Amino acid sequence: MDEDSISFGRVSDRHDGPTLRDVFDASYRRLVVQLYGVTGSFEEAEDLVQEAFVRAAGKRGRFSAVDNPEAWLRTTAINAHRSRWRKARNGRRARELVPPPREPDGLEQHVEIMTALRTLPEAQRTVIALHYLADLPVEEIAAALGVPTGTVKSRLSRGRDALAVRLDHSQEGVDHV
Amino acid sequence: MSERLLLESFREDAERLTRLPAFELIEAAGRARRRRRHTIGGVVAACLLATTGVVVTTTGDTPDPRPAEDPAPRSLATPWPGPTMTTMKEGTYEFRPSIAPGSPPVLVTLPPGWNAWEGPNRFEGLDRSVTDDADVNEGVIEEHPRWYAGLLVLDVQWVAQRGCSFADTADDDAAALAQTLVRLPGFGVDTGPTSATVDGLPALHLRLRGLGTLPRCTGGVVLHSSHGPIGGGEADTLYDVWVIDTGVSPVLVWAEWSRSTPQRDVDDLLAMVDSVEIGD
Repeated sequence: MDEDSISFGRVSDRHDGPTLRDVFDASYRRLVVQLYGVTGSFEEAEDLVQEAFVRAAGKRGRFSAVDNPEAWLRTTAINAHRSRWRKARNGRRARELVPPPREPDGLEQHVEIMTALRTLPEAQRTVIALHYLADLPVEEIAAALGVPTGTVKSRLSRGRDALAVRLDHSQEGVDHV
Repeated sequence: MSERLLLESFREDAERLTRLPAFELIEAAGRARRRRRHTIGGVVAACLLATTGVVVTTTGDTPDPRPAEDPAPRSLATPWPGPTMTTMKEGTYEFRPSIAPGSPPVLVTLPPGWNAWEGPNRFEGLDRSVTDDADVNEGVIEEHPRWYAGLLVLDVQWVAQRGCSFADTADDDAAALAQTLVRLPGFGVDTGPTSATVDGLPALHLRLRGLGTLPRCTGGVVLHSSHGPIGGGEADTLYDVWVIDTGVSPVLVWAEWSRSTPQRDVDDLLAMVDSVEIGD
């Protein structure tokens, strides 16, 4: 067996669990959409998820012992995003000059919900995306973000309210046209 | 339509439209990343062999400490130099929190402008350019900077407790160590311990606050690690603390900053925490 080949079992033809390829096939799209919700940018989401898979491939044996590979990949991608976001916040003036991200082809009908999501504060948007797009319960969101469950609950509640208001305004705007 | 239904509909369409990239490219990038790590291990091993070689030579054997085949320039991580008081290059560094056999190294990625102490730190007046003259940074810190930020990656042997005692935590698991940290004298607990994940490993997270009331009898020491005593607990200092269950002994990631630390430096500090990777 090639020393560098990726295997979650001890031998490539004796599978004790899913291979990284299996996880990739099953989870890649889901993770990209979840990170799209978190970041508001499809391109950044793809970049973050691919980087998480590269890290997993680099870990080989360690990753095979992970109980929930998708959760590991999600947390890795979110942490990478958080670091980028902090840097971006420091360069806010520069960022203001950058045009807002464009929706990928085929998602034009979802512009309204994505636009509303992007207007939420980062912390609320992350919790909303993890709850609605990743179907995570409050406890798992708290564990993924390293914050108390009460914080997740309040961000979820405020985020939901804010989202509803923005969607209402957006509907009103459409109705009046 | 409710926001839940809108998001579900968006998810369904977005998943359908997301294209899978070539897995082989990701696999190859992972292999390259692993090779670079092994190279680092090779360099460290070569250094150890070289040191051992001196001893062996004096006893008459012939050492053969071969250099690593693919040395540092392609390495992702550089061994952390310890308290040299010089400003480090931006990049990934390898920390050895414990000397115990089987203890994993910890990789941390530094932004530019951080000084080398037990861990990376920054303080008011520190220039961001790389230095190799310790006197420069020593001079800055002797000016009593008004703000300080620092990161430590430790294995914890003893933790200060109320009543002028130290709790032996050398054999504690992550949960027990986190509970002991909750009882640190001179500290308030803002949040935690909260279950978390660091680099895929189970961890506990705490936010602490220095109260400036650490008893004098501790000599200013909050905890002892394999590398020596660690102080702290000053008033108006905040602590982001992670106790990571590595499966061997817990690793403590201890990030602290004074309230007046500029936001950019706090962000850099927390980005370093986010970058933590536990090695094999």
